[in-house]
Amino acid sequence: MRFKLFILAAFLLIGFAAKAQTQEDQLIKDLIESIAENLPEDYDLSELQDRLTYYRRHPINLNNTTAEELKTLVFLSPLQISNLFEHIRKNGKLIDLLELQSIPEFDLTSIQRLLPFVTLDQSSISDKITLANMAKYGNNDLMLRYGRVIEKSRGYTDLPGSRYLGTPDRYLLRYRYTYSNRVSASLVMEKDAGEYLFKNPKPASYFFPSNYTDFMSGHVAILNTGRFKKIVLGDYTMQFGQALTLWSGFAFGKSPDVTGVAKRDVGLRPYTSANEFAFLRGAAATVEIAKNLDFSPFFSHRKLDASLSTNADGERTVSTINETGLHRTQNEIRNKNSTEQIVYGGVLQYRVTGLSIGAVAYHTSFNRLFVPGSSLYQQFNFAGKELTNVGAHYSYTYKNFYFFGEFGKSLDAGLAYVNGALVSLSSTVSAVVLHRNYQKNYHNFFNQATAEASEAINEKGFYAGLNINPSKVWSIQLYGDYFKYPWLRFRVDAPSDGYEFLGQVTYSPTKTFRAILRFKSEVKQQNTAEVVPFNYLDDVKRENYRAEVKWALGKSFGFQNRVEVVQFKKGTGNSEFGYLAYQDVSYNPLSSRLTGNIRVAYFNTASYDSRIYAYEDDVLYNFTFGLYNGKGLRGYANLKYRLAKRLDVWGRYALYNYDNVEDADPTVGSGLDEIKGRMKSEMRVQLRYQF
Amino acid sequence: MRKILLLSIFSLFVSEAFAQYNQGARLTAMGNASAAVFDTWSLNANPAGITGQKTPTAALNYARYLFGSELAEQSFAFVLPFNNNFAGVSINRYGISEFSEIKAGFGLAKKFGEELSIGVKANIHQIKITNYGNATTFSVDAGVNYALSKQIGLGLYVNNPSSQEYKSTNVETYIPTAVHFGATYIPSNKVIIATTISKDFERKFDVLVGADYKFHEMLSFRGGLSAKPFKQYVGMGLNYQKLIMDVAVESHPQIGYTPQIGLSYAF
Repeated sequence: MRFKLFILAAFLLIGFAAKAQTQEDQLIKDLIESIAENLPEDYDLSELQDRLTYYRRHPINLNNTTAEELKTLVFLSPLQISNLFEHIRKNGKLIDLLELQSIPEFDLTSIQRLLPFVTLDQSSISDKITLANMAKYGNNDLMLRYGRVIEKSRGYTDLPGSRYLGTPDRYLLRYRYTYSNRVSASLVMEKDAGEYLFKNPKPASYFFPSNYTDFMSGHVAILNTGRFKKIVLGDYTMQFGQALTLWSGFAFGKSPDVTGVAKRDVGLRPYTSANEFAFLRGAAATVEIAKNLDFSPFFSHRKLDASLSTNADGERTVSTINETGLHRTQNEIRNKNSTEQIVYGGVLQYRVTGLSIGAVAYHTSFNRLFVPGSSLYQQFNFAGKELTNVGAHYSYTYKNFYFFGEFGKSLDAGLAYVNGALVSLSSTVSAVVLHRNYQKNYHNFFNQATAEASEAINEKGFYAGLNINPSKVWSIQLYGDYFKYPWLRFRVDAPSDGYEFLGQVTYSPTKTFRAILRFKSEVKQQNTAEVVPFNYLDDVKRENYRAEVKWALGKSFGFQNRVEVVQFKKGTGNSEFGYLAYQDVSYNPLSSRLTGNIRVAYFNTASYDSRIYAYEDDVLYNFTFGLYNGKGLRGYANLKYRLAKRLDVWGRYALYNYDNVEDADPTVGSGLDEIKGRMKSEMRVQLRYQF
Repeated sequence: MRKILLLSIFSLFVSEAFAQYNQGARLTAMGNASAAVFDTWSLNANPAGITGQKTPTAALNYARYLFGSELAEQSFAFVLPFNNNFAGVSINRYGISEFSEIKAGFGLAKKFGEELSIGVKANIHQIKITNYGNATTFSVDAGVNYALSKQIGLGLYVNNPSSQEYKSTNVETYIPTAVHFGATYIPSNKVIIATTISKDFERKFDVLVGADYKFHEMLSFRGGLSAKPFKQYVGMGLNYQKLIMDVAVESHPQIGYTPQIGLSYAF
């Protein structure tokens, strides 16, 4: 029986392997679409894609890895990781990847996803750090990107007041060096649309005092040197526990991948993304100070963007930090680097099979005084210059249960905690529960814990999700979340509550056909739109219905169609609807230098409230969640051409054609981004050279 | 005055919370997604569901509404199997001393082979308001269960198809007329995933989802959700030989928490 199973599995897996090459991009796309459902528009996931692309070329050796490393493959659940190590501990090293099938929780889908990124082969090259080795075996990856909106927007005209001072071009240069899993370095330079090129009035950063670029980031890291597991100089991220106490950068939360609420903490990582906010800058290390005990001290000194005001004592004060990284107008340039932030502290982590415990303590200080805004809802915001945070987190695997949680406390202010469990109920059903309670005065500048609101403060909630895979063909996910805001919020003048429900069914009878139905409903409360002496709260309901099919024609052509309807209703007002329908066609022949894809979409939404988001294909390392708002057509085309063995070029052209016929003088966008006419189009070219 | 206020509050919650009669702590913890689940308390849901009992079973259940000072619901059920036939009796009392609603019923169910079972139940309803009067009426429930496979079961039942109501014009309370359709997925003998779609003719569709996980021979964990209104449920069950104790907590955005406890004994 076991033998037969292996034969069957072998055939399946060989099939996957052959396809793996071409499906790599698809996998990354699917993954991001399934885990990044509630992603803010401007989030940069290139770090994740970078990671996966890297593992594609340098697979993880499953017999010689750590939980932390496997967590960087975000699609593995903590329970799977734990079961893998348990299996290796009991049965010795894996001899064949097919063995994965016999590990509890490893269903075919997970194995299929995992295979492209793992190996059992001990890498044969020497990984001693010498100049010769680094030159011979090192990988260099150089990328250049240029893009712009083709139409001229109002901000670039000769306006008397605020206007964009730079050019509408966007540039990105990224260089990345890796040598085995020992050395890593990167340099990123970026200029956003509207920013100055070359003659920036303010330097890119404290560490890179150059005025030639608006933003610059970089790092040098040495990894796996004896007790020093990681040493990073320059820009880095710290991600520990359940993202409640110390987590810089993005964390996945509620999404159709219902297990996403159990955070995959990957500890200290070098930073390689172009996001101008989500990182720490300075030095950090992870050192093994005793068996199973790691210590990660860190120090960061950064300049942040904030608009300053002056208080009664003549002192310059801050109320919020601006995270966009845009420095286009006089105002934005004035605010650039206006506030200094120093963060230092350390993390202790103790890990044995099945159990992980951590303690975090760090201090954040600013050179400017924070004052909370004057509105009542801002009353409990951070005030002062100094903040100390402490926290403790745990995860524990017991049989088919994975328990996880974290407690965070800001000294002299609030407390927050989150606890949950991931349970494999049977081989086809797993369940997740998560309880959270974040006090309204829990102050933390590195808090990305699972929450409904964009910040994990002033919220209590209970989340429960089920993941059911009754057969290879069917897959069902559902979750429900109830949340309460004990204090007021922006545009919510009273304590409020709400809930969210998601159900998704996937049917994939063959490798080339997949159909998905999804329903999502969310009810929250918000100030009424009526003009009344005191705002009362109205229920705001948003429901999404989505149907999608993906299919293939021959070996080279892939198709995807989606229809999505959004219903929005506030209080006793009428329901309004938004619609989106699109057709994607992709061309990926096995051995062609040219690949590409196009989309044609029709959208019609009653207002911004019934807007719809959809993932869009883009050039490598760039992420777009298209915003479909108004009425019109959206189209784009991406092309990739392999110029030479190590040289790839991408091109993208995308446009919105709005059908706002009733206007005599039609415009697109608003404010400084307003464009005359009905069209907004954008182009992008990218070159990547690997050597 | 206070009494009128109380009464109007209770009749409000009668229609809000009491539209479904208490289905016991186990089914409640599973979000009342009970249309295709077998339980003693199926008597208050799909009467065909009592055909899962192998021996005579008696059950008591007590639910406490925390928003009121003494608002509670007490229920009793008894199921007697004989050959492939099953008979059951249930009594529910909901309210406070000044106001109470009682539903009592007698059910009969029959198994047709391993796959199919059918049940019917006749109910008598009574509302009693101290110093005000009584009202009485009758209703019927009927249901069917069908096992599609070892893993998938389907259930369908209706409450009060003839839309009986209280004769007295003073009483606002109505007897719900509703159709419930549900399915269970039983991937192993430890897990039941249940779902039910309910349509009460006076309300919106409700979707209910629940799970029961037998963590240990003696211990089960349960959870559930309902969509309209959005409610969350958790619970657990302890069984020791012939005695079963179930607890459940229901969380409603407005009403708050409603804990309940049930005891049953299989003879």
